[in-house]
Amino acid sequence: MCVPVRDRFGGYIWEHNEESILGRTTVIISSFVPSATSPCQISDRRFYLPLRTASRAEETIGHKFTVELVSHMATTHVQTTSSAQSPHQHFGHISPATQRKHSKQEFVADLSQCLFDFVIQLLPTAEEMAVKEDVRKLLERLIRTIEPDSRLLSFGSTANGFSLRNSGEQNLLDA
Amino acid sequence: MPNHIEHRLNIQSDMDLCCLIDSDERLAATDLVTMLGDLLERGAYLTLLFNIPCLTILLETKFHVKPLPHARIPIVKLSLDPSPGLPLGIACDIGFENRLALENTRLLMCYAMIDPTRVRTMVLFRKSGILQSHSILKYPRVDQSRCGVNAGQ
Repeated sequence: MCVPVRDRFGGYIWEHNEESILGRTTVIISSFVPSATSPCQISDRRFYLPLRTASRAEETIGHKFTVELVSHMATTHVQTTSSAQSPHQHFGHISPATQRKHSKQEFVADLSQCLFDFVIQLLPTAEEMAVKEDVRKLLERLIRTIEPDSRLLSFGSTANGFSLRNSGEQNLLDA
Repeated sequence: MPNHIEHRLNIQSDMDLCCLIDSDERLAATDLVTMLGDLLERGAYLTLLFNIPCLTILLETKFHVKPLPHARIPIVKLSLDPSPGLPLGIACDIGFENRLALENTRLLMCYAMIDPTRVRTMVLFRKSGILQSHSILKYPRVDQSRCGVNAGQ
């Protein structure tokens, strides 16, 4: 069977007598399709990949998709092998979908942690909040000398938890 | 008024305060702002008599007061110079009967309470970026927390 799928360097990524592509992804050849079109499918059922079809346009799409998939697999493989603690040691048995899912989860977790670490430095200190509360109490007492039934409430970022640390740098920038 | 005090009173306040008066017979906001401005200017040193431990050092410096009774929303702008107890000073705005602002604050606090870690992280990150661009590009300032929440959505 001819498999006209090539990688970006022009070489075939699979020969028909091989059971896997690039030694990583299992190839399943369907016995139900006519031999004239000779398609095959890669990996699990979420990633069908027609290697050769009757339509030239579809073949081109399949070709592009395969090259992208292979390039993604290569990237993931490099990342995986470079990490000694990675759980994906048996790479060949994990489908590309699972790899992508893990990769995305790791990326999201890393991003969340980075954002959290960045933001934690911007939060106001406990002393700063205490001083603000003391100033509020003081002003409330002062205002009660003219309006005994009054209450002085804080609003805005100080009250809703979205306040940033009052840094000297910020004031310099304002100036 | 010296330039640095004028500048201090014109910058973004560190703290927004709203005075609610529970009695039915209350003065107009304009009159209250004028009276409070007078009181704070005259009685700044008297505040030392209020024995609040944290503020005895703080109040060795004088309040700088700027009442704005004829603004659309009358407020008193108030600032304290930096002192050993408060290295960066503090600036606050005091308004009256601004219940809409209190309600907005309550709503934003509710959003933050839904998922404190993620919502606060997202909003503070966006807000820090917005503040940075305002400082650099001199955009007019807007409600940054609300802006941060909107930008994060």
